[in-house]
Amino acid sequence: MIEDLELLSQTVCGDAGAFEVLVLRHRETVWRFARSLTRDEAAAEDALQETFLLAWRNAASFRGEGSALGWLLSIARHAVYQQHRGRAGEPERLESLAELGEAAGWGADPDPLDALVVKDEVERAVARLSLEERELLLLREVEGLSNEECAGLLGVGLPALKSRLHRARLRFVAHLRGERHGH
Amino acid sequence: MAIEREVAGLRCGEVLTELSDYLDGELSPERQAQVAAHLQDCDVCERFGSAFTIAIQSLRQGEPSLPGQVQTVFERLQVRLARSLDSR
Repeated sequence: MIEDLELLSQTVCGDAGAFEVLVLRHRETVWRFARSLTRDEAAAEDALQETFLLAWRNAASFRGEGSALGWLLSIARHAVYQQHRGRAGEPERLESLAELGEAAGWGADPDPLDALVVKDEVERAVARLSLEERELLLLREVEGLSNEECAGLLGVGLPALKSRLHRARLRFVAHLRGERHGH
Repeated sequence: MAIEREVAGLRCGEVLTELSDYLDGELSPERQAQVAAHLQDCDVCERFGSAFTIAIQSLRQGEPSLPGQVQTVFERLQVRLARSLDSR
């Protein structure tokens, strides 16, 4: 199998066939990411098309830092945020970690998450997260990117990334508990 | 209500703060062992740590689904790209 970086090099030289292989290899991940971020089929399709059109036009801008998939996801993320620009609501109040932990069941007795978590509950809990929390959990937990790759893609330092990740995880667990309790 | 017990030299609040790093194996070996010792002897944190781990693992499990009318979406992507690939 030809490596992504080789395909990108060939794409820079105008090899459309190499680029098509790259599209086939990563279109599902980019689609899943865009669809989960936007929660809207049409918006996700716009972001998907935008991602690969820009990747084709700007392949030479890939600096080789990180993976080709990470680069594609950063383009997709930018496309989604462009769509959402100006649509942001009030910033959320930043709860203390203890408050978030308690919402997630820290100190609860007995904890209802001892039982097996079902897929539908997971999807509903993810859907309730903010855009920023959702994208981080998708990149880290679903697509399996490392903390370092996520930090590079989101343009934040590693300590900030870890802090955001922990808060997003706690919020997800809190929403999961909410699904169990029916609120 | 915040938990303020101290077990194995760590307060529960410190364990809560470091739980993700512990789960990811990002702590120093000494700190990793200290958090493990706390979790072993603190029933509240052990219960929460287990639930937290189960929840995060549920995100990672299995092949993620492809939502929506994905084949139609990919066909339209190919059509759109074909126009661009020809014109560059």
